[in-house]
Amino acid sequence: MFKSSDGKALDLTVLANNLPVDVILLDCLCYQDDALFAAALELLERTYSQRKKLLHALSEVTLLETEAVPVFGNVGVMSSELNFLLFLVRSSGVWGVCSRVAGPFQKDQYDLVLKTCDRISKYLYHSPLESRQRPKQRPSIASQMGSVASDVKKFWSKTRGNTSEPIDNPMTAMHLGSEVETSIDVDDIVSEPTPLHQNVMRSMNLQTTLITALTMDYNLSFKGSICSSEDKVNFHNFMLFKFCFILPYRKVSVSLLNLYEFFICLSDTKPGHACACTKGISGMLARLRQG
Amino acid sequence: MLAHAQRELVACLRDFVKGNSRNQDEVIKHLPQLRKHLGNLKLPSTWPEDFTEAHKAKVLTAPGLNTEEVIIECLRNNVDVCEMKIPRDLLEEFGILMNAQPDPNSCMQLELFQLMCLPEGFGTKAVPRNQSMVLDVLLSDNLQHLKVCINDVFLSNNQAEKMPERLVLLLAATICDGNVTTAAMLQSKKISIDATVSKMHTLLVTILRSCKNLPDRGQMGIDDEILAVSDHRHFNALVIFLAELLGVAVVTF
Repeated sequence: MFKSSDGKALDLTVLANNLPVDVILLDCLCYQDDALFAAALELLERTYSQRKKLLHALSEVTLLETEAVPVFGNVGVMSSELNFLLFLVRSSGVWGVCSRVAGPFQKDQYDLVLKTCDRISKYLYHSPLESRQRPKQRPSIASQMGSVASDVKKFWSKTRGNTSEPIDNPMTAMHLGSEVETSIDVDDIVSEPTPLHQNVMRSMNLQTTLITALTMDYNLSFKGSICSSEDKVNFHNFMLFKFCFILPYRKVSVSLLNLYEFFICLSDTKPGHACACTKGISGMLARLRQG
Repeated sequence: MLAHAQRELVACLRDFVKGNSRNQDEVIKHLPQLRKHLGNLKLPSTWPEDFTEAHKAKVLTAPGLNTEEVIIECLRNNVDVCEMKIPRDLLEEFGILMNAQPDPNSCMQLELFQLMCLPEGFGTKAVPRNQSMVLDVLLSDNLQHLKVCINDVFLSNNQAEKMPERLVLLLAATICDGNVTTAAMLQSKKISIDATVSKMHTLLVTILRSCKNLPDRGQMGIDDEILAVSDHRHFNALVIFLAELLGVAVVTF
């Protein structure tokens, strides 16, 4: 930023021709003049809190040896996905409800949120690249692009049409390659979250996104949605069951998700069947827990 | 719909703070937001006009967003947070949630109380202020179910299989490091060394009877007996509790 001794020229003592600036400022604090007092205190604070601010800013930085990161491919992709997740979280009132204002429910965005959460989770439980043997040749950025990256691209192309206008999203600056999911070996998964990856996520400000997610209104479907009452109840309850299956039995969750269609079909044909299905799912859940 | 997405995001938040003190510090700043989602899902304050009572009855509220787990993970191994940043009313809120569970011994909320007393587990430094606060909440009159469960441990003749060992360990945590104040509080509720020894004796007889393959008592050495019961976690919990009670007694005398 500065060349040779340029930086010294901005030093307060040099600017003041080596006069005792601190003493002068302290003297200024003794006058009964609010503006003078405020200005002197501000200058003192600015002079003596620089190091603290610098140390604080440095403590927020997590250095990586290379830009390659597991699961996401590289830091650029990870950053864009996390930024997009924040966008999705903030705009949940638009895509997460079927209303006259927001239009139909946008399942793509919902799936994207779940997919990004899954990738974050995988990343946190992934062993760091530094701890393993590095590949002989670094994969190209194009091959590192995950499916989420292409989802983001699809989203923007949908919302923006075919316009070539640049958008404020780092994903567009990259060449998006084929939809190759970054492969993860079972050996790479660790039982506890990796501290380095947690730190990287903190540097990426993931906490803001996740805390913002707590402000999402999960009862939004009951406020202005144009779905029928029956649909609202069914959809609400389905999501609860989906969660029951996913948390303790992640491996079987994929096949059980198809129960949704079954559940909706039943409740559409005969109202009483919804309750019967609820019991059936509860029973299945109990059996899974036992087995 | 959104509730499920939120749960996944909260699960990410839990993994984000797990075992990382700086992340814990970052997230615990937002405790008020986390507290809003404790327990089951909240029903909407106003229902759509065409919503009938039948529809309302069908809306499920469980499970919740699981922010309890995030709070618990923020406390784990983080003494500073446990000492300074957890208000008493949060403990009371967790106490109410625990009291509402059919089996408080197996609920996750119990872990918060334990971490408040011993952020880094047994054998490490306890937080005396929190120990008193936790015991005060646990023994409060408005948590009747919880109170009954605790009394059952020492004042009834229930079977070993039903022994709530996590509750016993929690009580042990409240008197850890020779906390005379909390030990006196327990003593006033008739949870004393005598009651513990008596319960251990009953439990030991039950365990020995259940060990069918063991040889005659007369042929067994002391080591064999200890080996036979050492696997029994319920008994172990009582042993830990007794050890803590004796530790307090040593401090007192």
